[in-house]
Amino acid sequence: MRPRVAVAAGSAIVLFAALGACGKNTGQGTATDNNRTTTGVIATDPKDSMGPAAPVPGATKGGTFYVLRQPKINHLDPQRVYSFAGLSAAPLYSRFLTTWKDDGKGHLTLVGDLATTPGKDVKGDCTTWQFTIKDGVKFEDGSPITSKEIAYGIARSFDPDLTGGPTYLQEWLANTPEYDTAWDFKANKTSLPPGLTTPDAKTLVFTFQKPHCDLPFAASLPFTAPMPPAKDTGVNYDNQPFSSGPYKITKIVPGVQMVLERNTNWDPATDPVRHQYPDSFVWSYGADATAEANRIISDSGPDASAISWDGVPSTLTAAVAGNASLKDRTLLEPTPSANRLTINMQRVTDLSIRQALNYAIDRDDLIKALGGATVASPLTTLMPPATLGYQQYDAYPAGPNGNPEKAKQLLNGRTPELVLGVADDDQDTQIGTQVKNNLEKAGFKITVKTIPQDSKLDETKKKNNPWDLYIDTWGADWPSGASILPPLFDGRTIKDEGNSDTSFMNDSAINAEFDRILAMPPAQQGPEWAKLDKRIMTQDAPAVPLYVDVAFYLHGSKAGGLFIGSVFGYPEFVNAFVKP
Amino acid sequence: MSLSPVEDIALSEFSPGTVAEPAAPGSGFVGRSPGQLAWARLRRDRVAMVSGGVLVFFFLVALAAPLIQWAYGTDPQQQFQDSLDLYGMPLGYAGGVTGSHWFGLEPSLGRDIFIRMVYGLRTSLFIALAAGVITTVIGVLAGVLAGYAGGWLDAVIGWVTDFALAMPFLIVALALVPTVSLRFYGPREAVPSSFRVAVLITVFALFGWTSAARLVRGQVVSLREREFIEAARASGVSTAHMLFRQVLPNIWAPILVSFSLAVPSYVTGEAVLSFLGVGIVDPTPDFGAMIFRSIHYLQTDPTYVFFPGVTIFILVLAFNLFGDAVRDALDPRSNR
Amino acid sequence: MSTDPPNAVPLLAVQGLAKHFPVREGFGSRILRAVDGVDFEVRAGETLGLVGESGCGKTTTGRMLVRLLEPTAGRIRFDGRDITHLRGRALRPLRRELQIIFQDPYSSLNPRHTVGKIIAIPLQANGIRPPGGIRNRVRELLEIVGLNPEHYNRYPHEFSGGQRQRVGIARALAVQPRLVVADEPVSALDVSIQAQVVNLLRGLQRDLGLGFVFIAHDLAVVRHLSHRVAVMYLGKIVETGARADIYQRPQHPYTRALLSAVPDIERSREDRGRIRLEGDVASPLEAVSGCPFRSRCWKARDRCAVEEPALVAREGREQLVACHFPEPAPAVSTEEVRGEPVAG
Repeated sequence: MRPRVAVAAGSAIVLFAALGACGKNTGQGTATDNNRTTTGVIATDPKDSMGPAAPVPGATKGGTFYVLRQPKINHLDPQRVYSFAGLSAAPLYSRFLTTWKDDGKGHLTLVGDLATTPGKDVKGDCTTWQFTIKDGVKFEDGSPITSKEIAYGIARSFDPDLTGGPTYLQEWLANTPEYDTAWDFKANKTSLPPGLTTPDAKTLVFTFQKPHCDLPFAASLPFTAPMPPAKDTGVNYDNQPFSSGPYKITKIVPGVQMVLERNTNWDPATDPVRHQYPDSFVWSYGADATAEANRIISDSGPDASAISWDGVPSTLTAAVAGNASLKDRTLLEPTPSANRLTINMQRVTDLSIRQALNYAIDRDDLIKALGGATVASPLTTLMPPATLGYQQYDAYPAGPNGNPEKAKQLLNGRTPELVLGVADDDQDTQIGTQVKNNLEKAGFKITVKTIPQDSKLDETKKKNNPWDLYIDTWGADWPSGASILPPLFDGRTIKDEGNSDTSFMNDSAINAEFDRILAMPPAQQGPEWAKLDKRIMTQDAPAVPLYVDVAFYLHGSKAGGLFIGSVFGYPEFVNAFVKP
Repeated sequence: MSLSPVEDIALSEFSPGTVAEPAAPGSGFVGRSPGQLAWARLRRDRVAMVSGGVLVFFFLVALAAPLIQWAYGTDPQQQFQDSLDLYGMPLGYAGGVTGSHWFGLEPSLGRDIFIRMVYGLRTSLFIALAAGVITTVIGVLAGVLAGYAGGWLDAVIGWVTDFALAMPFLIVALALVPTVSLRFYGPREAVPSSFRVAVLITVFALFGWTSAARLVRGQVVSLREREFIEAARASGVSTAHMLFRQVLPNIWAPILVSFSLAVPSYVTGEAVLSFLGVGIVDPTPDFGAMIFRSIHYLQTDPTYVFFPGVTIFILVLAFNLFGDAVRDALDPRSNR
Repeated sequence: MSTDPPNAVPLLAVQGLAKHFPVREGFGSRILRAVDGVDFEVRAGETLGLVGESGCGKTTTGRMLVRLLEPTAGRIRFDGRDITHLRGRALRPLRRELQIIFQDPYSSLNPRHTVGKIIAIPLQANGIRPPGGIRNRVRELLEIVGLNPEHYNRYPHEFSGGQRQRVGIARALAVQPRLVVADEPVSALDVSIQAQVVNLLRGLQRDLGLGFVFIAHDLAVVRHLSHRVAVMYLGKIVETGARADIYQRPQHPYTRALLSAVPDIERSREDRGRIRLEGDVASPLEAVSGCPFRSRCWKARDRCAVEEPALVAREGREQLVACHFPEPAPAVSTEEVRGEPVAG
């Protein structure tokens, strides 16, 4: 009996597999607009910062909006939010000093959120910034939001126990990267960090020792969210943040679910960006990306008003992109996340080798290996096209599939042995193989070394890491070159651990350029950064630009108002509504 | 003096040199050993012959991998990304099956599935067989010593067996493999796949011997009481002779069955470990890694799943059927 | 009737031999007295029949004689040498002199070895190199036990029960022992085959001058072969004596009961009553006071419960008996003349 059962089972497998294999793949497909540029202004008209936000066409009140994600959001505490999921969710339950008006197509306006304007440069030299807090802004219990609460939120971000969030304000106020030792939050709970003052309940002033013209941009990050000192539960704040936004968190089941419901004390008249259409939001954790995608494709029950926050997995992109009936339920946009093959300049000291790497790289095949046009789009510059003032160029033109011959010429007979460090998960190891095979066509000898997944980032950020090449991603915190080039290539920031300048480049001429451009008014900086980008690539070649991430998301037919944010490249919920 | 019936017959029949000679089965001078009888039974079993043939076929393919590569013309690392569309999926029919790519191409990297399967089979079978042999040898030694010696040796070996059984195999493997790799290879040195293979076999050997040991010990304990063992002792044989000439030949049946059932479990075990990243890693071709990766593509490229899936199914099925057939052929009742 | 060989030292002399097994019962342990002090002698070229019902300790005794078991107490002397606690090196030479034939022909031969190998192993283990080679010796032995010498390459499963037992005998004979313990060698065989094997043993004893300790549960079987008989009950010997004395003039009630169970055409004409023993068998786990047989003995009296009878000659008779009230001799012994010479 057993052999017969086996044959039957075997035939079932054969049939099942054959059913899917019959069609012919002719290679058609969609791609995103790689060259979409971003334009952005800082609003000067106070009306831009006033609410209510323009109504979303077709939007109706009511319903429950679902967000599916496999891992839970790391931190809900606004001072600790820095992950993309956190940045995506934070506007639901918190408001900030400034925020972006975003049309989802690259047109951005920076406006005041809790502040009446995006900040006043008091002395005109970017060292002193003053914000006036709006009237009528309240917490979820109806208590008013004043400059004191916002200042307290910024002050607690100095606490070394509350790590995870961005560090711009802290470093700028303390004027040193070691801000937590410069001003001890725990010892000074009743006072404010140096440079931060609240002359009255409606006024907040930043005074910096050095000019920081990007302050209005930095103030849009969640670490300017207000908090009443009495509500500060330290590391436990992650469990139940106190809301200042249109929704408040009402239930958290750890690792399973997070429920947000309307905050009746949020006044739309004070908010230029957010809406409050759905009755509630439910973040649901646990299912993997493939399962989520399949649920949303089937579009039944609550999944009809859901979005899969993990995006369409690369293994399914072909099926989803090729399915015409899904087209109006997908979001496809380029993002500002730029991926580069970082070259450790402490080890690879020869410029010609770094240049040869740039000639050898085959971006097209790399993108195929990643999952194709809906996953990645090729990049030849250090800054992504989503940056204000972006100029396209290719310092080492080699065609979409690279030019191994040109690379070999540069190498002049040498076969440099380089070690490429990759994380040990399946996907990254495959990319490692891809890059290795690619570079070896040009004569390089590449050893792929796997690094345990959870420690890969930390290890490659160490100053004396043992690898020559590793792939890094950088998503700027605001779309200005100021938040891309200096953090990544200013050698004066190099420390033992936790570096962002993972090329360990330290070119004093370039460092001087950073200082010069940072001192310019933000509106004029754009083209200067573009020029500097090209100069860095030509003179130093600290990396091989690879690709930008492409956002490809699937949502249910009843999930309306979704768009991919132009600042981070992830779904935004400020306009979300549930169709009836 | 009265005669009992026994005496009657004895007296009437006794004469030296004559003996009733029953017809002995078989012809010729050499009798057929129980092993030869078992083999004859196996030959008659059709399921056994078919599954055995399948296994032999797989072994030959695995052995001849370099030869097959030479004839086929493609090596397992070659990429054919030009034959992939812009999503990284193979062009053409059925996942890229053509005359030069018999089983199609992998999505993403575009490597040839057929030749990667041949090499993957080679790695998997090598590991599974080596692990099977080592664990069976260790298990048999432990089982025989424990069963025959009894007393404190039995207790100690039993304790070690329980300990090995209690240890969570997967967690230890996950912890051990990276640690050992780090110990031997610096942060800039690639860990060669031969090392990984050795580590995998060691990990299996650390845990896999227990079932054979338990089985063999039970057999030996029951064997210990058989009179021919006592007879050997009365003849004054050495302990080595006792273990290897008297005991061992009587337990090779369960040993063989245990081995033939252990090997497929190592094939699947190695597949799981490779999937978890502690087994064979890319770019070395591996069966298990291919299967697990292909499952994600079930909806978009089912051919990628089909070939390795069917192959591992057939392989494990053949092993199990053959193992069962061996067990039936060695049925002790017919050893009388 | 009994033979008195010229040498005075008996081949085998056993004194006070005992084997106690600790038995775990719950938290404590008790002692199983399998053999509880036996004495007997065997002379060269002579057979001692050791008879008793199952569980009386005869097999255990046999194992102790060939040193497969370690005696708990007592002495075994072989050829005058004390072999009671010999081990290892010292035991090896003894293996050539003392051998054993087992009861079950189906488990006493290794199914994986050819019979030739089975017979050769004792030779190889003891480093014996017969002139003409081992193979020839094996064939010789096969012939001696009445098997076809060309069958040395056959496997046990190709032989019948009786033939396998012959192989076992050949194995025992291989090293040319002087004494063979035959542990119920015919109990597992058919009646007709039993006779053949018994005859074979008799012939071997005559031709090779072997001594035998023939263990059996049936008095009839040992009669044909034994010169002397010892009757065992619950680990002790209750009667021992020459064949004629035991069979014709048994003194111990148990011996009488055993004899009455032998199907005998002649006897049933006179002594109609088959003695059926009633009562419980005393447990070998408990030390019994007085005579161990008293719980089943129809003659038991108070004295039997108090005083354990010693194994001594009583009432002027020749055999040794352990009973306070031994059976009297029959008035006329008609069978006396009918016997034929046993050995010689």
